[in-house]
Parts: sequence; C-alpha cells; structure tokens
Amino acid sequence: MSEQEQGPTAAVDPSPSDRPSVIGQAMRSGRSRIHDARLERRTSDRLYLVALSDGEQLFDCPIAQARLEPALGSAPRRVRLPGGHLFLTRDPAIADLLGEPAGQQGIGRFETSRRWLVVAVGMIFLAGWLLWSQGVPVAARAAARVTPVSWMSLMDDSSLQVLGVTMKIRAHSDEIRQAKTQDILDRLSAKLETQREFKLLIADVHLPNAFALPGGTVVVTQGLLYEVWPENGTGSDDVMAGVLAHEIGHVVERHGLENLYSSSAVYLLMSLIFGDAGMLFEHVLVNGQALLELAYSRDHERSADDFGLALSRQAGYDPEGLIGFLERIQAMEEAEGFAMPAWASTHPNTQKRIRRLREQLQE
Amino acid sequence: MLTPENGWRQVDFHGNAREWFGIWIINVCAMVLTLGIYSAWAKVRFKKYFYQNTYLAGRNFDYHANPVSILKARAIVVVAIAITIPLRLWFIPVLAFAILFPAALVLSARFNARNSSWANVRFNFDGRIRRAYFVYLLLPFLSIFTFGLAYPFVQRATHEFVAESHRLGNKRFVFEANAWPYYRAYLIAIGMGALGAFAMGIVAGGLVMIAASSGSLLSGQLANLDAFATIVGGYVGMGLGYAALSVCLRNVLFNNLELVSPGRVHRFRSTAKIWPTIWLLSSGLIAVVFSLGLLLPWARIRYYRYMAAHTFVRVDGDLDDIEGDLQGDQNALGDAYGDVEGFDLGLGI
Repeated sequence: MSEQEQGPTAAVDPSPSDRPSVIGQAMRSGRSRIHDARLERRTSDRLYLVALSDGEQLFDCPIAQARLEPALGSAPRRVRLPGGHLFLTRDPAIADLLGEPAGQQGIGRFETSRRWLVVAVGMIFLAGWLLWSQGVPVAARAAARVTPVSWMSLMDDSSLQVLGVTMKIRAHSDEIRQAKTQDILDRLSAKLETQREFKLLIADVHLPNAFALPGGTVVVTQGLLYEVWPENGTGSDDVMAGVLAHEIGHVVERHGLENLYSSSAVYLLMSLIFGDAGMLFEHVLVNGQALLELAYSRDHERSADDFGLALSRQAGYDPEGLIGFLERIQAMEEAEGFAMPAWASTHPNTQKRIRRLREQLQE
Repeated sequence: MLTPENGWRQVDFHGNAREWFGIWIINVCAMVLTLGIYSAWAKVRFKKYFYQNTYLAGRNFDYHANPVSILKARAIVVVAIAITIPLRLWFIPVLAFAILFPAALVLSARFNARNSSWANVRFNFDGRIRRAYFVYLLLPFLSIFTFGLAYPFVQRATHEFVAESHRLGNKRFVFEANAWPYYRAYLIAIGMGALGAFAMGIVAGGLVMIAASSGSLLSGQLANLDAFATIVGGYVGMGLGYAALSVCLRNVLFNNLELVSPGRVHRFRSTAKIWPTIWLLSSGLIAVVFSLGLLLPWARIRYYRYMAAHTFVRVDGDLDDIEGDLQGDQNALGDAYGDVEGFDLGLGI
C-alpha cells in the first residue's frame, strides 16, 4: 500500500482506459485503508470504482447517488459514494465526470475571484462602520427605551452586589449631610415629567464622586458629601443639586442601559468575526473596541449636563453651583498636573464642560 | 531523533494564506450581510479547510458537522442568554456556567469528535459527564486548599480525561504522564510571565525617567505614565506566560499520547518551542492590529503550519486497520454554548 504526501493524482494508472475516468484514492465506509483506484463512467448513468493494483472492481453505483462535495481551496475533491465509501482526487476532470456544471460552484466562486475579494473587503469595512456607528447605537437606544423599569431595578441589585465587593456601600452614613442629599434628590425627582423612584446610597470612598445605576440607584461617595459641605452640613445645596441632576439625567435618558446593550452587541459581533482567532487575539480586539467606545459615552455626558442644568434650575437651584464645583476640580487637576487627555477620559474635558454650561446660562 | 528513518513522520499542512484569506473574507462578508446567521456555515467551512489540508500518514482529516444543527443550537443558546441579561444577578450566570460547562464540554467534545474524521474513519468521544464534573469542577475546587500547588495534577487529570475519552474508529487513545512535566510547564510559565512584566517595567520606567529628566511633565502625568507602564507590563507578562504554558502543555499532551490497537502502539510527539511560538503570536498580533484584521488569515495559517511541522507520529507498522461505523452527531448545543461563552477543550491539532 503506497502513501503519497501530495495526494491521489501522483498514482500512475497501469491500465489506461478509453472510457471517461478519474484516478484517485478510495476508502471503504469507516475504513482507513487506502486503495489507489479509478472512478470510471461506463454507461451514461453508472459509476464503477476499480482498484489500480489488480483491476478488481471495488464498487459500482448509479451516477446520481455519488455526491461531489463543493470545492474548498486546493484540497482534494471528495466524492461521497452510497454506503459511506469515499473517493478522493486532485484531478479537476472529476467535475466533468460527475456532471458538475462548468466553473466554480456556490460560494467557492467568490472565494477564488480577486475582484470579489476586493469587493468583499470594501463591503466589510463599510458594513462594519455603518453597523458600529449607526446600527448598534440605534438598536441599543431602541432596546433601552423598551426595557421595563422592573428589569432595571433587578440589574441595579446585581450591580450593587458586584460593587459591594470593591467598596463599602451603606444605606446610612453621616446623618445631616445624607438627609440634605436625600432632600435634594426628592426635590429634583419631583420635577420630572414622568415619575421615577430614586434610591440614595453612600459609598465609603474618599474621592469625591457620584454615579447612577440604570434602575435609579444613585451612589454618592463620602468624599463628595464632605467636598460639598465641608463644615458639618452648612453651605450651599446648589453643588449637590447640580451633581444629582446630572446623574438623574443619565438614569432618565437610560444611558447606562444603552452602553450595556451596545457593548454586548459589539462584543457578540467581534467574537463572531474573530471568534476563531484564539483567546489572546480576541482579548486585544475587544478591549480596543472599549477604547473607541469612550467617544460614544461623551455624548451621554453632554446630554446629562444639559438635562441636569435644566432640572436643577426648574427645582430652584442655582446652576452656578455646579460650574463653581467644576472650576474647583479643574484647578485641582491643574495643580497636580492630573489632566487626562480628552480622548482617554469618559467625561468631557472639564474646561470644555464649564464653557458649555456657561454659554447655556447666558441664553 | 524524529526522522523518517526512525519511523517518525511529520504532520503535513498544505493550507496557504492566499487561499484561506479568500475563504475567510467571504465568510466574514456573508456573516455581516446575514447579521451573523451565516456564522454556522462559516464555522464548518473554517474547520473543513484546516482539517482537509492536514495530513497524517498520507491521509487528511475532514469535518462533517451540519451547519443547520449548529445554527439551531446557537439560536437556542443566544436566546437563552439574552433572556437572562435583565436577570444578571451576578450569581445566576456564574452559577449557570459552573453547573453547565462540564456537561457542555462533554457534549461539545462528542459533537466535534463524531463530526471529525481521518481517512474515512470518524473520531468518537465517550467521556462521561459525571467524570467531567469531577475533573473540571471538583478537582480545581479542591486544589484551592493546596493554594494551587496541586493544580498541575488537575491539569494532568483534564488531559487524561480528554485524551482517553477520544477514539479513532475502534481504536482508543491512551495517555500516561508524570506530574513533573506539568510542574515544569507552570514554573516556566510563571517565570516567563515575571520576566515579561519585569522587562516591560524596565523599558517603561526608562521612558518615564527620560521624560522626567526633560522636565516637561507634571507629577500627575508621571503617575499616569507609571500606571500605564504597570498595565502594559502586566499584559505583556500575562501574554508571555500564557504562550509558554500553552506550548509546554501541548508538548506534554502529545508526548504522552498513544493510539493503541491489538499488538500495535502508535506514538505522538510535539516539539513546539516557546520563543518561536511567542514570536509567531506577537508578530502576528501586531500585523493583525495594524492591518485592521486583514492579516488574520495569514497569521493563523503561519501559526497552524508551525504547529503541524512540529507534530510527529510514529506509525507502528501501518495505520490501515482502523475501522469504525459511527456517522455523525446532530446535537450541537454544547458546542454552541462553548462557542458563545468562549471555552473549549483547548487542544490544538
């Protein structure tokens, strides 16, 4: 039994035949032994498989029962014969023998045409860009719109369980400052067109910060409470009102949900396309996408700024409070040389935010 | 020496980047146009191309899965996961994953084995689901109590489970390995990881020093650069460690694997090297990123060709007596769950 690295056609036919035939290798159903063989068409509708070594007839069947698998690159063509027998050949004449129409069939036609490949590359970049810049955000927004509030509360609970691992979150903290914050939150939410429930939680974190979860849970850090009311709760409420109104904006406009949906959709698309690329590749590609996505959430920040400005004014707070606060942050950033370049930050550059807010106030 | 004179034969791979690029790009294009539905056909075409171009002892492999089965299973898995998104109480997906994945691994391995063939003989996987829970859940859990020191034993148990559950036709794979090569693999991986992180740290530190001495940076920016250098160093270290580990484990798996039939033992060897593999992966990654993904087929073919060229089999007599009557498997659920959640048996060719 000979084994040929380069495949079936290397075999020499010892008994050339004038009938249409193709030389290759045959394997019986579920057997690994190779028989160098000739697939021969003796009548118009019947195939015969003949061993090259001794001319023994191995098998025969009606031509209609032989199935020629579609070509795949330059791999040998596979002919599936009834009963699970297999015939392999590199001879292109097999197409003719089994009556396959001329030229490449099916999707293989595109795979081998240079023109189609160029078209495909262009189409993928265009479709990918359209999907990423238009399709996914629109679909995510639509999905966020129709998500019931009860689902979002569930999501809040699960997010808090995860957050609870990294920071201590509690319902009660500094009583005076927390009561004031709660009071401001209530006054702001009372002015909303559609009523939503908001829940205030305090995080044991020194950095002044605040964030909101999709279901209406607003988390304020201990640091922010002290930053806003340095001396035992005295001082203006305008700053906290500005911050909370901004966060309410994120909740009402469902920005968090939109982000969740769009990043899941993009993740799914990326893993479909590059899924066969291996773990390391996928990791880099998906993380690269997260970096690009920051631009998307800056729109959200601007939108929440606008929303917050209008809401805090409506509830009777002075928007100058938030601007003053932002200016203090900016001064802090400058003093420490801490300013992140704009592309790397989820929040728009502080200076830009201040300028935008000021301009809106002048209207 | 792994030479033909000693009976060792290399695994041949005849695929080429040009051809695979054509197939891949049309796959991607069709997936985008059909919003992902074509992915099932793309998977089959991908596997068929690589299998059919891989030759062992003069005979190639093939993949026979029915794309419609894959599509149906993927639809079920995606819908099931989509339904649980709003219920993302953190423990539900984690718990579901922990409960499902050993079973899914077995179903997936069975599906893939039964739909893969060499010569005209199908593979089979007859590992028990119960055993998979033991190997993939209980053992890793128990190794926690040894502070991970026993983890190489767990790795060996997974290799043994995977290898010995596979059959080619009526012939069984046998696997027997010492624990030491596994410890060696993890030690090398940890060493490479530390080395990578350290080297990157020095490079990044040097850059920061240069920047600082020029006096053009503020202290806060320095802190940012420092953090950046730490993250990059961490990634490089992880990448190197992961690459080294996968090469070592692949070698251990093949070098202790035998295909046994009455009176005959066919042996395998893998001689992949760590540094060439790291070069293939890192240069490939850079090429892929800078070509916006277009060089992915090239990187893949190059990597696959290297692995094939470093895989050998010593056939005892011949491989003509392998037989089996199995004809496929249509249950693609485990396979689809693995694809969506991104896990598999983690075996190369």
